Amino acid sequence: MVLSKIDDYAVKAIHVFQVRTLRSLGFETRVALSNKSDNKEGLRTDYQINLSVYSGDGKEIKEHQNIAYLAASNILEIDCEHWADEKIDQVLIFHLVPVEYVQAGSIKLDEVSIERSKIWGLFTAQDHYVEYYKPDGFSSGVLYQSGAFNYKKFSMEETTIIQAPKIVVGDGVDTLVSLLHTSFERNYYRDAKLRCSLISPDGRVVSSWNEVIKPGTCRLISMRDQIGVKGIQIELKNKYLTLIAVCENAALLPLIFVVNDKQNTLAVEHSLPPLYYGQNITGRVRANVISQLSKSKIFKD
Amino acid sequence: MKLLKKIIKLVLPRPIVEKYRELRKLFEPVSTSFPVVQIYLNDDEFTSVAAFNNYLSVLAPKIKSDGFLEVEIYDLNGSSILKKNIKINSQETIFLNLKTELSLINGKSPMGLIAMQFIPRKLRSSNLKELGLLSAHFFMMYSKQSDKGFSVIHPSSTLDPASEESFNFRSNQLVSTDGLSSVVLFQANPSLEMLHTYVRLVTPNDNALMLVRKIEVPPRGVTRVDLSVEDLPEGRQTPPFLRLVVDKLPTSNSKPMLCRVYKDGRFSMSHS
Repeated sequence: MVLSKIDDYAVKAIHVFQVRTLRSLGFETRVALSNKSDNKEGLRTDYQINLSVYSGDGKEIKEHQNIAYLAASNILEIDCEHWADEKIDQVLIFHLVPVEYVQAGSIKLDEVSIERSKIWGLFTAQDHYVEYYKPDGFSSGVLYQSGAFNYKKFSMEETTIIQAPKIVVGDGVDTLVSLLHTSFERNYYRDAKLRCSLISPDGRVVSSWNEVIKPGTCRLISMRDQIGVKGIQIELKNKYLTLIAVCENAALLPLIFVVNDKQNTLAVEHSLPPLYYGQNITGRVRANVISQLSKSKIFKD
Repeated sequence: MKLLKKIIKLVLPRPIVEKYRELRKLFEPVSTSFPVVQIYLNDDEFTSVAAFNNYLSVLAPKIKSDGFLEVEIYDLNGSSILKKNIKINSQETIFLNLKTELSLINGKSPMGLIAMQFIPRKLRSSNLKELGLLSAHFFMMYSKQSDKGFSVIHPSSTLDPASEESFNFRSNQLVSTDGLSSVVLFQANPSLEMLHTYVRLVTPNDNALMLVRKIEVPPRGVTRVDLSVEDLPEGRQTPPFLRLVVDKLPTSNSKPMLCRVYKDGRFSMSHS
């Protein structure tokens, strides 16, 4: 077996879970972090949990070391409200640091030499859970994995495709597209440019527009507002649409939120990456897909 | 046939054999996965809409990607009750309302499986073959008739009969008991074997048993399990969080859908 070692890999990027808070919709945030490293042969480890909290504009990061300890085969609930701002939406990154890289609560070395298979093994061992809750107990959440995006040592894929046939807009109902943009590179100042199109069931482009997402920030885009811009009337009966989006210069983390203002309910779902649809859509094939899609008529209003 | 192939390989010059292989590849159709499946709910409480967009018009926009969506609906006992093919053009999305579909066959099916497979018309397109094994992923949207909630959940199984059962599934969710009335599980069985298993609610790390139910799910069927907070053991404090454990899943990733029902009737649901 050929082992592929990566030199100078950032310890804080070995295993991460990235979330956003949702104060703008009146929800509080908590996560459940799982450790199933014991399911992967030779990779069993406990984790020290460190946390990075980004300011609203993404320019400042507060680092919190050793906020929790997660033993192998355990699960841990963390309420983000202890760390996040009460008034704004923020990006939070949980760093699950294998304890071999930690001494007295601090990371021994910022960068280490590590097997690619180890990073991949720890990353794929489990997904983690984020949920948004109200003081009355109602909560809604989703399980997903989020790697160290926009860090070339983790992945060369720095693009995004979103296919979301799950946009619902109606009386009191809105769908909001959430986008997180982060990086683990030392000097990363690139704005992500996302081209978006809302498509009607019969394939017509209802609305087409561009979004810019600054690094270290999260965006929340109302599909109701987007339709409203085009002067389309929102009816009592729910209208179903499909969102297609492409970003050629960054890997973004998309989530879809469906909110019902009247009932105070929320649905959360992640997007399916292209690999789910076509097993070869990686590397050169993915680059071809991105190039063709960004030039396609889908993004012509 | 095998012998004939061997003889041809021996007799014909290598460049011709290679050319033949190239030609054969050219005429091979795209490879598609087994149909993708998800649970639908269609009772007095829940309605479901299955949403499938022509993903090939996004992933291979240079070609005309029209084709047929093959839909098969099973009832909770795993019997096939409806099959239909729907023509889909490039960029189109089908939002299939299960109540409407099932009313057309006068079928009262409170829940079951819906399977989807997309067959593009240009089956031999090199653009499509380049994408590799194709899977017709779709999303299911669930809502309560009383408007007390909405959920969107992607499928996590196919009807691949070779997909192996898995054991000791521990959900990576934690279920807060704050304001909670019950946990409702919907367990599908995409396999061809009867499923006998136990579902349990336990405390997160010390695994103290709070509730357990034995369930049986017929092949291609679906079962609902209601776990009420009122049935938690008496004489001890309700734990702040619960974790779902299932002894055996019928296929590799066919974990149950987990629905939180709150005291005021609202719900939220996701895959566990």
